[in-house]
Amino acid sequence: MPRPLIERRIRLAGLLIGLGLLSQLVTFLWIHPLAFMAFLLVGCPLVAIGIVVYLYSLVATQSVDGASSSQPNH
Amino acid sequence: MNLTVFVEVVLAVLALALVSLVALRVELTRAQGGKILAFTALFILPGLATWVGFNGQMDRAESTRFCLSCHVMSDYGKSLYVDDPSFVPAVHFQNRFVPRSHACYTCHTDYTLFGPFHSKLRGVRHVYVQYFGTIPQPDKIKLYTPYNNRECLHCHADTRRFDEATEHKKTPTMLAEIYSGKLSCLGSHCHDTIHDIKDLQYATFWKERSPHATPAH
Repeated sequence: MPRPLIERRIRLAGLLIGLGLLSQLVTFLWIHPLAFMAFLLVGCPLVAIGIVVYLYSLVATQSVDGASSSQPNH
Repeated sequence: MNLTVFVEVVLAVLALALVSLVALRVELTRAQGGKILAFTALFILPGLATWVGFNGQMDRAESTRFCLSCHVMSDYGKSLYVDDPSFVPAVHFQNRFVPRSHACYTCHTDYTLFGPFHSKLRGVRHVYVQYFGTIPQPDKIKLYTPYNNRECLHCHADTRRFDEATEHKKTPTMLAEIYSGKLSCLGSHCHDTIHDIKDLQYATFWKERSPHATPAH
């Protein structure tokens, strides 16, 4: 049985955040401008996009629920 | 590993562990407790870890090691060890008038990443030039704007030794002009030997004692 859409989005969010946190961890090992740029341009955006995907999955599901509950029962 | 890095790593590892748990066992989020776990793992902890990590990166970017990590800056690093009291940065570095671990940033507070938006863009450009552009000769590197007396005065201002120095009272208005920035500390034939990396080939160098050595009793 396929997973619900919200769970697939949560999984995607987890993947993005996980990759972002991993890249951030790697940059901590190294005091160098490239580490700084990698943190800023790779780690932070991945985590930020992951968080947005997660929040969107919550909002989108709630709005779908809200729309379906507002439909009259036949 | 210092405390800041330790906290950064612990937060990131904890966040990573919880994110992995939620991503691999996503059906956990169907229960109320799983929803709270997902919110913590996918919103609170990654946000906190990134914020703490960003502050740590900014702190590391102020370090002397960070500034000197590009090859083009190595001569400027060497100039801090010149055994000649006329070299202003060397005197400050060797006598711990500035913290050795943050020597560059203490006197160049508005340089690249730490200045206003234009300075930050310049910092990004420096990284680009380092890897993809034509790196200038070290002696061709100049400040973008004349050195501001503010950098000297944030330590020297209102100190007795500075205010009462005869060199600063050659004319009745000299001290006021220094404070107002009309008279540059570096460009008035007073403190005009700064990094002077062209002269390094003729210089002798001070050897720093091991930072962990204890004084003899």
